[in-house]
Amino acid sequence: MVKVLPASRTAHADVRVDNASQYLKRCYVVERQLMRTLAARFVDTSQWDFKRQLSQDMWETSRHADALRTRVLELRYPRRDVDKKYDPDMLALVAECAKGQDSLEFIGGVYGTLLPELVRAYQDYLDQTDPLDDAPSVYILRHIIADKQAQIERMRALAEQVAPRLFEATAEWQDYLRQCCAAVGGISGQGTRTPPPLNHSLAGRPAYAIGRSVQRDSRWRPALFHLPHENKYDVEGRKAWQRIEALDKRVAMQVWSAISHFNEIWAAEVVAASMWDFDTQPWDFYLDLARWSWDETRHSTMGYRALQGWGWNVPDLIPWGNALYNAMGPMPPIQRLALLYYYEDGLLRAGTKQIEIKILESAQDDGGVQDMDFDWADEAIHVSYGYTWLRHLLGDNNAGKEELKRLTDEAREIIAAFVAQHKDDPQAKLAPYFDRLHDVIASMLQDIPDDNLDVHWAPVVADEEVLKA
Amino acid sequence: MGQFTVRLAKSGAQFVVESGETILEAAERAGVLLAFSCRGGTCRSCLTRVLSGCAEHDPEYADELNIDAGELADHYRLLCSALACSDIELEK
Repeated sequence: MVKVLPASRTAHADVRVDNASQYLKRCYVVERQLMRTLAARFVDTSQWDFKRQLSQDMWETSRHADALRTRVLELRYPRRDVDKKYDPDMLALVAECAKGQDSLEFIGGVYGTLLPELVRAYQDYLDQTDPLDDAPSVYILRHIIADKQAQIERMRALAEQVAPRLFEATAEWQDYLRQCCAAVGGISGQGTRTPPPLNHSLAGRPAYAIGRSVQRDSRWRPALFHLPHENKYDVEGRKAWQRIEALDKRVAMQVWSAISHFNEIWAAEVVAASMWDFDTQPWDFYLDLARWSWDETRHSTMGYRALQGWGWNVPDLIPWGNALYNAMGPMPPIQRLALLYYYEDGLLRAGTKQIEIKILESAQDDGGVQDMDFDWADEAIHVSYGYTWLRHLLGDNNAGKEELKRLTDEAREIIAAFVAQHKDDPQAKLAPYFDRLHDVIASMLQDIPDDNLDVHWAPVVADEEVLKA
Repeated sequence: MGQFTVRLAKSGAQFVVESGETILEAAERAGVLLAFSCRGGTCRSCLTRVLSGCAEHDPEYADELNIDAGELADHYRLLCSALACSDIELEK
């Protein structure tokens, strides 16, 4: 006699570990490519509010991809294949999303089609899987769904303020992407496959290519530089800044710090562009650079918040330069990364952040101190990222170190040549900004009593004497 | 191991480092400001050459530090993670 007990519960026959890992791997590929695409389109986007939101969502997407990748590996997926054998349908789908003809269309496609499709795929998975057997996946997907829904809501709310008809105006593009998704059975791959929309009016665009120069938000006047130390030829700009210093050195420090922070967006752009330019690096490379880039956008937002907090019309008073990114345009990606590392490493070694915090403390600028303190912690991580990944890319040996030095030296010469080339460009002149700023600050200071304190200040090149002061 | 004296060659500042205390911790305690950031041996802000005397990285996490063999051979140390084993002079 051969007998078995009946199954103690019913279970979906397809919910097995191998199926789960395949499904989640497919989602991981979408998230990974979406992260890189958001990074690239962040660089291309000039509108400030959209730009910083794309940056945040890029970083969150990196966390989603990382959680999925980790779970895929837990589900017996071969480690050697997790970053290979990407599903070509998913690669093609995200590549289509990247082709939005401008930032508005790109945003419409991602937030109107791709993210809702991802949410549907995650929800379908949750509906099928067992919450006990597959509890770690359930935990991850619930959090990812919540994040994605928040991203969609945030971007729709932002569009209402910035470009009210964005989603209506890009409906055709969203529809095209929806058809692309249906043609591959949805992100799950389990839907009915429809014919690919080859004859759609928006089909057949060339592959997306990242811009090598950036534009700034049209509310700002075009500017190459943002502070006088960037351009040694701008004598009038330097004199105008010295007039601000003459009002009060700590006030000048507060303003310098905020302007500098706001303009850190170029660093976010350099790192984000690297995420696009390097497409076959180890996963941790992208995870680290996603964080690095988002941090720099956060620092930029800190600056913007401070400048706004003083009640200023930021686009009118504050230069938003593009030279630091654009001067690097012709450089190979690794050289741009090397130069950024050189700058950040130099700032920390000189103790510049420590000095700035002390001066902001002396000004009792609690918000400025807090911003700078967290910025400092972030920058320490970035330098570690730079050290780690440049060694990986160039070789962990003397030849690699020498090549890093060669790349950096050459990059600095390219920057110096760019500055010299533009020395007579009206967009390189900062005096008009600082003259206006001087008057605004002077007016504000009339109502603030003098505390008779003075400081020793070397904002760019710190030294031990300053540290001891 | 007891106390050792750390001297900064450029500034002339001196401070005492206690047994088991990193050089950076001792500097902070003494009110001598040195450039640092991560306190974990990864950002390299505190990388400094030891001109004389003996300083070694905490063996508990020496393998995790961002410093290479060449730098170690040239007597560079990460002050946030280095312990003095004699009186020392730093290139600071």
